[in-house]
Amino acid sequence: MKISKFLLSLFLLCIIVVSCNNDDDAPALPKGDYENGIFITNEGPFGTGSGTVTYISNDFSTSQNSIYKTVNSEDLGNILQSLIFNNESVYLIANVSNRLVKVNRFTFEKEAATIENLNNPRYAAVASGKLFVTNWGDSFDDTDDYVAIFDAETLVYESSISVDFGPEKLIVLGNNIYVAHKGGYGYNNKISVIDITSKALTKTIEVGDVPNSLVIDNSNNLWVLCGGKPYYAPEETYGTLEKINTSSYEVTTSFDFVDSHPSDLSYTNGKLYYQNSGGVYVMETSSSALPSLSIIADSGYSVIANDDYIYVTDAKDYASSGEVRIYNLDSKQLKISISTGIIPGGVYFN
Amino acid sequence: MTQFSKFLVSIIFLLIGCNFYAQQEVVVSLDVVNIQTVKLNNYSKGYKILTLKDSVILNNSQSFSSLLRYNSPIYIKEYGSGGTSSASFRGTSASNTAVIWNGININSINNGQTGFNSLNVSLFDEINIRSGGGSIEFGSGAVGGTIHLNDELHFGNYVKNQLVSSVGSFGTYHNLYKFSFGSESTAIKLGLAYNKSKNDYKWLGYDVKNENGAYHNTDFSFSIAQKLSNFSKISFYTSKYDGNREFSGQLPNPSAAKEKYKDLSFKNLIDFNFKKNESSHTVKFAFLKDEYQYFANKNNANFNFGKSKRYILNYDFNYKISSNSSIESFSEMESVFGKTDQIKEKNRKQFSQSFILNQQIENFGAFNAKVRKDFNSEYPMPLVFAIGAEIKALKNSFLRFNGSKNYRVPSFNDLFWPSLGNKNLIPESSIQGELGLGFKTNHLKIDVAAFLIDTKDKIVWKPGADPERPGVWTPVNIDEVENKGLEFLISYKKNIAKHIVNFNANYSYTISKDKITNQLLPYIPKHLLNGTVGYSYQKISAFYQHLFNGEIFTTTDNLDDYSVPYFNVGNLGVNYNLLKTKATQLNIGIKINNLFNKPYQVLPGRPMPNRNINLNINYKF
Repeated sequence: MKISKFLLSLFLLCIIVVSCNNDDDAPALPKGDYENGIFITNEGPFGTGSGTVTYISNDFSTSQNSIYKTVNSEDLGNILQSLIFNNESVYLIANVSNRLVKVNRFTFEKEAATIENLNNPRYAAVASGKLFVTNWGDSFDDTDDYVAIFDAETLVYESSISVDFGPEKLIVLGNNIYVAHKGGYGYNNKISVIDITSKALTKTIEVGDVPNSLVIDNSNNLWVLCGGKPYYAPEETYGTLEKINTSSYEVTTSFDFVDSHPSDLSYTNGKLYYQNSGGVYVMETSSSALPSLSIIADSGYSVIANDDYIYVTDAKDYASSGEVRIYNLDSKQLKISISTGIIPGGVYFN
Repeated sequence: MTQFSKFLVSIIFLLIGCNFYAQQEVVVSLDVVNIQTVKLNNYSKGYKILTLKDSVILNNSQSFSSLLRYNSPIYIKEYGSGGTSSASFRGTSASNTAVIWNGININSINNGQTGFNSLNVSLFDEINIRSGGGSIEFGSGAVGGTIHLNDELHFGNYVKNQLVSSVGSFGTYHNLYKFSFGSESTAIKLGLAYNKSKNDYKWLGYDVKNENGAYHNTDFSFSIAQKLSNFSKISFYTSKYDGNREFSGQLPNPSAAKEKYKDLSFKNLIDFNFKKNESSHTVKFAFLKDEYQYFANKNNANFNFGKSKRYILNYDFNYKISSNSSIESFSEMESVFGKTDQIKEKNRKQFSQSFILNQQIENFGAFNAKVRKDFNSEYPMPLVFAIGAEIKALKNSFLRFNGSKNYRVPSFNDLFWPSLGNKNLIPESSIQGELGLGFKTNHLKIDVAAFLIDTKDKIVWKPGADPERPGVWTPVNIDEVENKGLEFLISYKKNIAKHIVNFNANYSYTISKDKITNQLLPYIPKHLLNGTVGYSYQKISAFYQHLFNGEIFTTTDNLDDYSVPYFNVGNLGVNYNLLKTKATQLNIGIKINNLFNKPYQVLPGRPMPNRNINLNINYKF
């Protein structure tokens, strides 16, 4: 341990020296060790222990696990669910620990943290200087679910909006926040529309069962991918992909999956990507049917496409280091596999 | 392994070939009603048994977890002080430690384990801890070892009362009352215990305290025995435990914890014994009822639950072949009903037949051979066996060895969990062997042993175990595990004038490997050492107990980043005898737990209590 610490210091020293040398050529100082790159949120071990963040440089040449702990000498909390960027900050949500932590986006130094008014927090979105955090509340209670609103700068709690059960991912468009109700401990099938100015629930849009991910395309359409109820639910249903017009709030197109449970919708370079039954699929937003062939025969705990690459995280046995497999979207070939923390759940691009 | 078992088998045949003419070593006295301890000793030749007397039990009254942690070779995995707690014997899993109440296996049928914080042991007179498998007469789960909780009943002329009361830091109160009565033909024992604690200790090095860790429980036990004739007696044991615990949180935000757990355990056993000449017949009927309720939020009335009922009928026939050998037959029928909020009531029926051969050889040693076959309504059961022998090699020293095949049946959760359970599971089984050397005088006892346990078809819940269902957790018979290691025990007692010094220590070295990945199993310390030094002089006595718990990994790939560092923790106790007559005895004591106020964690993110004080009074009359 001591030797590895020494080596690490030596390594850091080398980086500093090298960086200093480079400074002569490039006048712009780096804002921090983690300025450019990718963050992976690792949920961490079940039951006990903390989630972690893995940093991977943009060129995939270096990576570092547990960066929050390295910088701040403390744990984030049990089950790191998600993170979100805003200005110069990153907000991290620890689900079981009911904790929200704000760090500097470039150095990962802790700026603020709160445990107030959080109960099973899941995902966050930022709008008008406010942080909107979805919360499941208690597992047995379908009526205590809410979106909590915090000041994005200070993390001071402001108010809550009561919503239907199981609010999960959320996305901002114009003056609206669209909240997908995946269903938490049960199964739901709704999108809540929250008005940012009035902080009120204005509409509810019914979609397929278990909406697990949502994106907005270049024409401001909201795309919602619903996984359907799993086979171990009392009644199994299959997935749907739905396109919602954000002016009329109506589902204008819906595609049905036959016999499968898709997840992880992402949108990059004008195309939709998702995973289904062991493969990654791509679809044009103008397409009239779901793609029949996968582009990559891989799937994982989560999948996200971003620019030239697609990232597939693998939680392995959920009790050891996971990995992220990065595929080139042009060649569809595996570019590199990088080891992560335990249960890598999300990939985020700084 | 095979060579080792061949070696054992040849030794056994060698022993059978000898002439037997010695007296049976342990004479079963009719005055002692509950002969569990006697039987255990008789049927554990070649095995190590550690006995914890009531004085040791009372000195560790905080919890069953801490009693075992400081006084046995067992590793206790505890989710914060007073939280969920399970035991690992020789690196085996929690469901491989069988807990036996007055001869009945009481592991939960839902998860196959015993929760070591949902059991109050302060009313038991004696706890025996037997390392290793081969307890085949106790059925499923006795792979790593067995823990025997016994109520002692004996005839004679006496009336005894005992009152123990203690008050400690963090609002902790332990109280118990025991009454026992004996006549020539009747024996009665009654016990009542009540424990409670706020358990809100400060987490050393942090600005927070242990939130949501409170517990309280009541325990009632009653047993009675009646001599019917010179040859027969009947006895009845009942015990009721009612527990209420909160599950404390973890770093960095303990206030997120809101879970609560309530459990109720009701155990009954009726035992009829007839013994005449060479034969002894025992018929036992047991009824056990367990129920738990799990509240995800203690402020919400909703809960998950599990319930089980077990009916056990056992006929035990013992025949003395000669003065130094006996054979025993156990026939057992069991019917189990279990349900949870997820699982509709299921019934499992089982019949088992075991034979045990017991042989003494004068001035040489003793051995046992056991075989058991089960028939089950759900899955095929393996034929299991056990052999064990002890040879008195030289004066005061002995050689012991044993070999056995053991199994653990799938739990109701494994089999029947909706959509996820796997009805094709078979029992996991293991082959094991142990070789030990011992030295025993009146003052000193040393035992050192090497063991090897080879487990196959181990039942584990794995994501994507079923290729048709990627990412879904299902139980499968997949793992192969090898545990090997050493266990060392020393016990020393010496009186010099009025000074009495005693010392006990257990050390275990355990390597548990997943044979497929070749990695160490998580949550098993390589090194575990505990010991107690005691001193008494006239009216004053003191003891110091210490635990060294080695580093544990928490990940299956043994990452250092996620390991829990080793820790040392020590407790000090001082007792003073205020009053001592023939009939009455009054002691007061103080115990300082975590004497050096060192922060330590058994599991990551869950700090254990800082220094705390417990005052106690023990009145026997």
